[in-house]
Amino acid sequence: MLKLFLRLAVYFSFLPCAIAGNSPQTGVSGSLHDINNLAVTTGAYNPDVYQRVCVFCHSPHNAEFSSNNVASPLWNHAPSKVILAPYAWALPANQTISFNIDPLVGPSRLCMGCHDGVTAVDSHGGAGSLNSGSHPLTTPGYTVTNLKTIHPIGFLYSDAMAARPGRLTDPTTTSFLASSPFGAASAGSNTYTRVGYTQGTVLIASTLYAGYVTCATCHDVHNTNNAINLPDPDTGIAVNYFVRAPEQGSALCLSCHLM
Amino acid sequence: MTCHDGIIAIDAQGDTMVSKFPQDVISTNLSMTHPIGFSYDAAMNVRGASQLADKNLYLASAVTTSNITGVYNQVSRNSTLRIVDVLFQGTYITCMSCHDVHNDQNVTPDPGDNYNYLLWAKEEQSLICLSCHLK
Repeated sequence: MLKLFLRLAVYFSFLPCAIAGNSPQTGVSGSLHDINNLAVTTGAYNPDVYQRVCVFCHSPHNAEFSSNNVASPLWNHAPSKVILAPYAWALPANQTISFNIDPLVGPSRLCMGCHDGVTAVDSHGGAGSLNSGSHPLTTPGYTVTNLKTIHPIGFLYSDAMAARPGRLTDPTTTSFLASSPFGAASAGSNTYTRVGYTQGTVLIASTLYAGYVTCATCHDVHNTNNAINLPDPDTGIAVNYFVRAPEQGSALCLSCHLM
Repeated sequence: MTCHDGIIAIDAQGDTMVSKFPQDVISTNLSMTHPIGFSYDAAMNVRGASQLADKNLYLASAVTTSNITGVYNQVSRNSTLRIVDVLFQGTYITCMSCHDVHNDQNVTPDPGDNYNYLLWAKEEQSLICLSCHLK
């Protein structure tokens, strides 16, 4: 009984912090990427004076055309200027895979405009800037300050395929996995047929930036087509990491990795 | 753009917008502004109905966020205008697709707003964006 009480207490203690609408596939409004909502509900950031959602990242006019010479999607946020050393491969055989001169190439650099832990989350707007704030993201676990402690980004998937024959799926013919068999034994598993897993509709190649693996390869920032996870049995909360395949059965990892 | 290009004089005195209201100069580079001059139908063909609203739908008036996994936020469309009504010849995206230049049928800014962008849908909740973009 006490255990049940504690479990309920933990569950309900989360509720005031839970952001309404942060469930997967509900859209950007109300999600953790609705920065205005985040600002209003947590007080950690300056909300937008017009209560806009998109404006923290995008503007229809006077947008930044490029961020570090990479064409940007009508970008309207202070650029991350951090320079980080790329991931270091653990195995010598993998050293043949090289990184872009900027391992944060493509959308990763845009993500880091909030997730570098330095650039202010509420610093948006260029010409006619309305209410830039000065509050960086400091929540532990939500920032990336060392690329050696996260999955490598900024390398060509094709390079990795060449260096690791038979160990990675073909991104041009494979989609992110939609479901997993949840530990069910897969007959003939040595053939890597991944019995019981089903593919979704998001082709892996469509998530590469000019062939590069970036943040956006795993993450769907707009909370539109991301994976639905099962609730945590202890908290009852299904985490939403904005990922393109479920955590269950490590379907996200196994979308690319033949393990 | 005969005013908003920052070059052509707005008035007889010869002042250009760039000298008077630099923030109102749209751009001399359309790469920095939302794309215009393309067919909504063509965009729909590329992006698909999961990313763009059907052009016969009305412009957005409110968003009700969903808490239910897999159930999308509900966008209310109580405008008097459909998307197709603000497309040039029912097809092309232009400045007029977002803006009502005559300050006539544009939305009233909510309290707290102090600027009138002459828009068909509100800035609040990014309704002008969500009128077309399913995000």
